[in-house]
Amino acid sequence: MILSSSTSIQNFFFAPLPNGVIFALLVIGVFLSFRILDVADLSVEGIIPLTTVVTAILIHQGINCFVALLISAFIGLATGLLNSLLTVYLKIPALLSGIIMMAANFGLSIVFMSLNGGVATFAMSAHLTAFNWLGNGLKVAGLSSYYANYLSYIIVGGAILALIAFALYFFFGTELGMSIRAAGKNKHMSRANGIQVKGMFMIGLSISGALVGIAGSLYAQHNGFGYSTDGTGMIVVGLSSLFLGELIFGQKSFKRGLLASIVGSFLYWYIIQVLMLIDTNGYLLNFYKAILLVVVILLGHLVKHVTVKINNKKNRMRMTQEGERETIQSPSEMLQENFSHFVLGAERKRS
Amino acid sequence: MKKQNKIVLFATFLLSASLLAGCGGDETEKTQIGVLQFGSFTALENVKKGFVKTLEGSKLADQISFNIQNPQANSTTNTQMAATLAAESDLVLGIATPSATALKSAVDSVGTGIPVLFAAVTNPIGANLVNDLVLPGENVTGVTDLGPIAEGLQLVLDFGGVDQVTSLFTATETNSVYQAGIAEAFLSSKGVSSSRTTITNAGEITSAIASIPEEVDAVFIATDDTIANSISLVRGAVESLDASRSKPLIVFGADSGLVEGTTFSMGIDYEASGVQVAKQALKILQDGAQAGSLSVESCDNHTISINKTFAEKEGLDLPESLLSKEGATIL
Repeated sequence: MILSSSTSIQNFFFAPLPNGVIFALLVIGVFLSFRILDVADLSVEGIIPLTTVVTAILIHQGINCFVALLISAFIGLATGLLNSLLTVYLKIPALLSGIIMMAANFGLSIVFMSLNGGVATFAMSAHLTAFNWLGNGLKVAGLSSYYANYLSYIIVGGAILALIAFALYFFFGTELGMSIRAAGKNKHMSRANGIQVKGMFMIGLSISGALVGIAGSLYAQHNGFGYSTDGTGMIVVGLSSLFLGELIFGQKSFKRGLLASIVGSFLYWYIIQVLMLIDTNGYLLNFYKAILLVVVILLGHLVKHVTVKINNKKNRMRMTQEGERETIQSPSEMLQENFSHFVLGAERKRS
Repeated sequence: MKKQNKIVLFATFLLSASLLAGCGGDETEKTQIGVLQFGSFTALENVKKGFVKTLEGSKLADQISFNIQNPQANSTTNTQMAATLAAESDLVLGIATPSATALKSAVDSVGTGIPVLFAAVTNPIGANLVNDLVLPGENVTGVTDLGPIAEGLQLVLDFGGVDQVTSLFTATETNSVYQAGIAEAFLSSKGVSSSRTTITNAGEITSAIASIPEEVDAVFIATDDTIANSISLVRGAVESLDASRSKPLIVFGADSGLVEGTTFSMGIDYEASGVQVAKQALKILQDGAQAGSLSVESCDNHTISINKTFAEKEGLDLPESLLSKEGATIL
């Protein structure tokens, strides 16, 4: 069993994959609440432990892993809905209602663990999970268990991610989806345009919660256990991944936001893997993470600065080439353009 | 231009990442021993100390190299470190339940079948690490840290006049919940009623202790990392509660690390349990034993610590049987 450095490199590329796939869903959830609805939803830190604990207990009881996944999605959805009800009808600030839901879900996860004798685990070898049913099949087909394992994460995780991303892309392109985006962007303008802002907020947070619930369930199925302390730091994971992704894709459109969430999640876990190589004792891991976030934001500013400069130069060049400006817009055209700019955040069309 | 910049940025990142990844693999000939220690708690540090010291003092010393990782009690980092260790080691040790279970899952999914040892785990069956303590089967074995809870509680009852005992523990710590269950079973067999005083984080200790009712005569503290870390807080809270009580509380801890806050404590010696698990590792590495054929051991090295200062302050007469116990540390 002599290991060469090639295993290390290979392992470097494979080890962060499961976390990357699983937490991409969480990042999309955070993207929906933070960017689309414009609330920092802290209930994420409660949904994760509750769904990991529930999933581990259910699978241990012999319930199918996909049923556990659906139940977790429902838990997330219910949390998101309750959270939005607290904000909309009791007028509790969104940040506080998120904290309330976090406490409630964290408390419930402790209750479930205690009722189960203080543990929430299942044996990976005895029960099927969303990932290992395929992994087992690939092993039977003759693939080495190392590759079979990671390939199952790529295939199953990739399929779930792609399905959800396309469904969201489609949904947020419909009239209802557009209304949700509009309500998040500009409440007053949306209300003036006849959009039911409260309802949109409720739907948006529910979808976000459901996505986080699915991530929690998959995380438990990846680990083989759930703990009530699993949620600690999850909002940080979500936000940092999102910012990392936005460094590459920006925040100009919904599609870019989705891509940023997914790619950002993978980037985040690869960076953690690099940090682990530098500091295996973990004493400095969190400190490095803090430095990393500052560096990321600085890089973001830098990229923005450079691109703005380049764009300005281009525009100047075009202006001088075109000579004169085009004719004055009609009032209706102006209104249309302003609406799409302020309400939907769409890119202003260049004529 | 814009796109190119980003691509260059990304490529630089990947390149530097892979260069760093290459650095990790310079130990090519040696047997890799992966250690995943869940956090920097005193008990866990002691296990690691015992384990590393024993292996470094053995005949195999120059043939092994350690890869010790510590996720600082962060569950996601714990999982990712487990995946790395499972793929790169020839034998892994998980210290504390979350690390041990993560390693087992990782080894199961990567499929290398390497031996998985555990230490500082109180309930290996409940945590699904093994199905049987005598013959674990598969590739997992280790040393449990279940202390002499019944023996210690018997000593508490020997003080006389103890009718109700409350267990103080962190609800999120698997080991503590299990030990509270053991304590309750023992107490009910002795006809003593029991209750629970639970916290979820160190910030709640003061108010939890302040709410202990007058009927309770003694407090039992399990091997609980959160409480062990803030034991002086426990002491302060107990003393201010005692001022308003007719009879002082007897505090008994199942971990010798708790001595600074308990009347007396009785637990396992974590360093000795580290030594014990290292001996299991040697059996596997030297003698080629299968991990599954080695029984799960419990640590028989008990340490007793008595805090005479507290006992005197509380007006408790420590029985001679306790003071004369072999190897007892008296403060």
